[in-house]
Amino acid sequence: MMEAILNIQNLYKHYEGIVAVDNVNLTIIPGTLTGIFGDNGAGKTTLFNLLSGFENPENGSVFFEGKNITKKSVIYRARHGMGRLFQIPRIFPDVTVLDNLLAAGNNHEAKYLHNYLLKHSAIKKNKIADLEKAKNILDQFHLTEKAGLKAYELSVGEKRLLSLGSLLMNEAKLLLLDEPFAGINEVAAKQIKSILISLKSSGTTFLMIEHDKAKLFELADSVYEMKQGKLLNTTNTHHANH
Amino acid sequence: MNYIIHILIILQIYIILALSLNLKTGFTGLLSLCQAAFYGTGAYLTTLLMVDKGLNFFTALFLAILINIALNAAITTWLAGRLRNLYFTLATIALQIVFFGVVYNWQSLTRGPFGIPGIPKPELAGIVFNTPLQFFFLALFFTSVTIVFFYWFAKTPLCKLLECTRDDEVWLTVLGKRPAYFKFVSISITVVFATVAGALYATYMSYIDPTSFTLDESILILTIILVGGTGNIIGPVSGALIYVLLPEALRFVNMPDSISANARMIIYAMILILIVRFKPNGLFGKFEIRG
Repeated sequence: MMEAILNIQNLYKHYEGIVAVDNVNLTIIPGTLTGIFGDNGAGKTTLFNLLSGFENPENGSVFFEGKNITKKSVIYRARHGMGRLFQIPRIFPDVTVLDNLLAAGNNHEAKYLHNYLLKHSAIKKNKIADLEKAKNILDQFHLTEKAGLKAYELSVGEKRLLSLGSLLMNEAKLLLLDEPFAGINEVAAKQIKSILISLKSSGTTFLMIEHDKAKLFELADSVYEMKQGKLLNTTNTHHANH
Repeated sequence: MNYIIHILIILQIYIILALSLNLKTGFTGLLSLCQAAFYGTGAYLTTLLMVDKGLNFFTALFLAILINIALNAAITTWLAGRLRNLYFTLATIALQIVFFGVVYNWQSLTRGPFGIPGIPKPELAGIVFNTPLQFFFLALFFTSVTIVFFYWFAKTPLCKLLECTRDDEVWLTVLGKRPAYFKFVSISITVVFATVAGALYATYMSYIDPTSFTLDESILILTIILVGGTGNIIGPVSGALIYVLLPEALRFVNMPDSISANARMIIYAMILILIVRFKPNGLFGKFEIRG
């Protein structure tokens, strides 16, 4: 059996008498899309906060690619391949679309001022590589014509694509998607859907929260319902489709 | 002639101060009111190293930069890591007030309100920058280096990351970058150039006291980038030009001496209000300053 990319064991978190995440167990296999739906307040966002490192659980563990990351920071998780797409798309609004992507790239040498003297060629080489990667993402996401615009000028759907593109620039292997279809029109939804399918086929793994059950069952390999902090297994669409 | 040279030297000091604040406040979004503390620390450190330790200007300036980074950049970065927006700005006001309190009261080191007179002129390879014209060329050298540096720096990937820090720290963290590091870089560069401005001011005037580095001075430097705009070179430079040259231009308006100084400040304040109201990015700025 393929090794799990994410393994959640007995994850627990409560706030003032309300159990937000109640002993959640989940295993995610690379290259799959796992969906979660549930009412408001069911604990979906808290689960994402625990997985991405914004909050610490009171109990339980999170293993990412076999490593225990339960107590690791947001930055550590991001650097090791975990990305999170927020419901309200996060971007750098006053920076151009292209520079949003480049900022998410991995030009480590460029972060240090002295390297501009000592490692000028390495910075230049990384910049070219990042630029190439960013151009491919812009092409794939149909944002090439908007590369020079400030990110705040994009529509909500485009901002979400830019957010997703930035996570890919950062080489995310597992993407936590918080309602990627919320608040966008059908055209943008279709575009995001086809991008998710294409990314999945190239090996990216997804854990997705979505209100729209139809979309979830259409895209996901397995779907869970979250109810009062508990994760309940529903239908395995992968098997249902066959 | 000497009067015009004097105005041009002061103008260059303000250009350096405005460009350095532009990086911290315009590019990185750290609205701060302690630029005069950075500037004053630079002036005092260079002066003390020259007067008390007998170092030459350039060695004193180099050491002053290092000490100023260790003191002010470290403290300000620590504050910026813990406080956001208005709370950070308030903390920088506190830092400015503490700086003034220290230089005013630590008389054994700074001579307090009596100030430090007789600061020697800079010297390089036997050339003493003694006359206003010689000093003008020294200031021009440092101003040119400052402009070239910021022009180059604005195009680097590092500067883009400072802009991203300003725009959304949480998103930067989710992308695996450490905002506190970028704030430290920005504040340190600001401190470097504020120290240069302080060193030039101290050696040009040959005398410093705490009244040149008050909260009022920090507010004035901030108004320069508010008027000119931030996020590029032309904004802060034009802001400094307006701030320094406008009062000089108003000298040609026939105004009784008793009211001329106040009238100039009133006119400057009116320009500031109009710009904030109708052009929130400043005259040539790329970004609106956020608090």
